[in-house]
Amino acid sequence: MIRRCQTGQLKMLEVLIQRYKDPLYHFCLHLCKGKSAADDLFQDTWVRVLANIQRLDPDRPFKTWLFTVAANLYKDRWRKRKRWLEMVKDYHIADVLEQQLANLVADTPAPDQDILDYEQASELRRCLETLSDNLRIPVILYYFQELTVQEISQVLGIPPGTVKTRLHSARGKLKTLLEVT
Amino acid sequence: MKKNLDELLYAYGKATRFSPPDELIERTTSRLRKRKSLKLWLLLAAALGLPLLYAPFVILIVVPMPTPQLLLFISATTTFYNALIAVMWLTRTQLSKLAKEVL
Repeated sequence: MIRRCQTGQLKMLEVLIQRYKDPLYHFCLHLCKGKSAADDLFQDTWVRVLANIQRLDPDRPFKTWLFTVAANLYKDRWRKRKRWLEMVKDYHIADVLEQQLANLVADTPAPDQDILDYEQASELRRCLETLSDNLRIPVILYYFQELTVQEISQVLGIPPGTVKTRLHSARGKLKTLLEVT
Repeated sequence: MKKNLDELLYAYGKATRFSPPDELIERTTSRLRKRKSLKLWLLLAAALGLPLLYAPFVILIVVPMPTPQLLLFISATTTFYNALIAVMWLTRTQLSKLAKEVL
């Protein structure tokens, strides 16, 4: 399918979008902390994928490459765009996300509800936002996307040992902030 | 009550798995389609527009003319390039958006 995309078949890219839309959107949503920013990142990622699909090594898993593109775009663009207007927008969006989470957690039956209630989810989200991107992104990829350390190292272009160290530091900080075991 | 952090993180990850709205997928695919056709139009516009940009210079060099006409033509050429620069400056945000979209 990747090879067919590389020959310029837009239909194949649309099939890829359908296949990877959920994990990518989930990743964007956690990365950007807000819905409209996540929507923009989602769209820009696919535009970048279309522009650079020729460079993709067909032997490399598409999902990790997709996450690399999204993470790089986020680093390049979104962190530099912290103007006051967007900060106001993010504040509003954080409320929307919290509301969505509240609805979803309320609709989600056990067993997850035994582990996580709405207050804990909000607290966890707030604690995650205090982490630097270097620590937060590996956490998102490891726990929310359920990628392996090897895959994360591929996505971020860092050695697996560094990924483990960052995960360890992030866990340490979160444990202190959340007062959990 | 103390809970395991790993369990909390996995549960949070599962609880926040929102699917993208259909409208976003539609917008994304139409943007990708538009981008492809936009590239073709831009190539065509560049092929037609670039010779036009150089036309005053070519006329100035190739066509022999007496001094009064030459001065008039130089003045007209200068005005043409000034206007071009002004239009580009005024539309710089749109131009940069277009460049980002296509490149």
